[in-house]
Amino acid sequence: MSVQEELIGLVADMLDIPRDTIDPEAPLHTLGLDSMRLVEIMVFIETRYGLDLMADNLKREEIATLSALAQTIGNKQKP
Amino acid sequence: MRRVRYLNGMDWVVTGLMHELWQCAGTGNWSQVVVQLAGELDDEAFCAAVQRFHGAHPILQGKTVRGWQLAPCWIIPRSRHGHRPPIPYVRRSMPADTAMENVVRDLQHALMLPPGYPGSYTGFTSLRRGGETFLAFRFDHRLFDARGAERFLLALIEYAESGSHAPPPPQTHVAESAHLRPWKEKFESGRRVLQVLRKQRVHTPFRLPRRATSVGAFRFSLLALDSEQTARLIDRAYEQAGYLMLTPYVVAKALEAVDAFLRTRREPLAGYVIPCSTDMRQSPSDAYFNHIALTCFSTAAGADPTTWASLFARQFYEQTRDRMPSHFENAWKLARILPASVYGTLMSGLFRDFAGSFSVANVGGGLSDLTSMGGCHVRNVFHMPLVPPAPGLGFFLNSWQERINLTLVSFDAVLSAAEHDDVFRHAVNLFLPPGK
Repeated sequence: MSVQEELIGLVADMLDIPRDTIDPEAPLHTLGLDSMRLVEIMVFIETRYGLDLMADNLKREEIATLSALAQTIGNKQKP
Repeated sequence: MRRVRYLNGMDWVVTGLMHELWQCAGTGNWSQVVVQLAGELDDEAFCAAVQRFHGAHPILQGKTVRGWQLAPCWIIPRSRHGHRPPIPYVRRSMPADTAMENVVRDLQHALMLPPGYPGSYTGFTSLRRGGETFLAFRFDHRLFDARGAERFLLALIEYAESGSHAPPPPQTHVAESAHLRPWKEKFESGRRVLQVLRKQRVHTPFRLPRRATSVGAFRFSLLALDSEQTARLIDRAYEQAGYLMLTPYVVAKALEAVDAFLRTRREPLAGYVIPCSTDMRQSPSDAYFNHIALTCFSTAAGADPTTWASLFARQFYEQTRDRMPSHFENAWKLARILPASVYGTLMSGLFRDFAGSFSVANVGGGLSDLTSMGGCHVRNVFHMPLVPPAPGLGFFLNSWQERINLTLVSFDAVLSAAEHDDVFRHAVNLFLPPGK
């Protein structure tokens, strides 16, 4: 399963909605996510990928969509 | 339908708060959601729909008892056709030129009812101001938290809008176990919670001292931002706390307002602890009972206020990572051992320091899809919750469509009317900085 698919599954479980209704290019706030849910996503990323994105002062465009988040994780994991 | 629903720890804390409010203010643990309508609501038709809808939900006529395992539970009456008192529906009117602050002042009187008012865990006030209606749905926190109340109200409005004269189908309720075991896990959670609270008490947390005079009254002020003001606020929250970090930003700005007020009062300050409610519902469709836990923010009083937003965003992250809201939720289950009245007394006495300096809550945005009702355009939706006597001061945030409302609530045993207005003035300056 790709990083993006994992994130979509996580958000679908959080919001109790089907996976196929989630647009990975949509800004997170338009999906109905709030600060608590965003923090839960960040905690998942730290637990699963060992990346503390909250400490990295990322730009908005690097975390504003699931697609961007997946790409940021990919970039950070590159040696 | 299941007739018994075991209460979780937060439900029992809320019941304890009801006793505390009764002792200190002579009222129950009430809150209300207000829908502001651009038109005159047909009260006859809506009131009739309210009575039919409530009649189909026996859970609204339940009561708390101790189960055979001594865990408190909510007993739901067997029949939905038995005798029940009508749901209170009060109509009031004010002149068309009444200022909004006086509308809010009038609506707050609807909240001050005694606990256990027979058959009434809910009620409505329909306040007319000229051609405008403020429909206030009052609810007892033992039965709903703020997000649950929004969900229930939405279902009720949808039923009323359907025009059906048949009662709605009975609802099924998700069972809640008694959560009696494993005890070890709950004690471990309790230990973790106490660790965090002790760590935050490195700087003695400031709490508002009790004033000598109190008539047990609450004061409310509403800051209703329009969509442009909201967009600017969200941009500032992003700059200072991070993307989507609205809650930590609001906590930081609320603290700045309180800090600025306290400095004018020359209070000796050491540090602040600010509890903030966190939504813990498993499913967004959970309507009944309480599904919240706490995140606690803290800082030294002398710290640079411009760092508070990012500091609180970090604390929010670390406490979520360490599962603190879950530990709070779990540890509170132990509180069910105590009778609620004893618990209420402890909260206003022995546990008062743990109540924090003031409280903040993001109470929801579940009515954002509500744009019209009874043929009237919806202008706004805001919340008016009572705040526990300790700490006696609270900031409550809710969103409706592209707008944010901030409600300031204070108890007269900690802030006078003039002091309440001072805090609100500071809050307005911070949430709506001039020229931005």
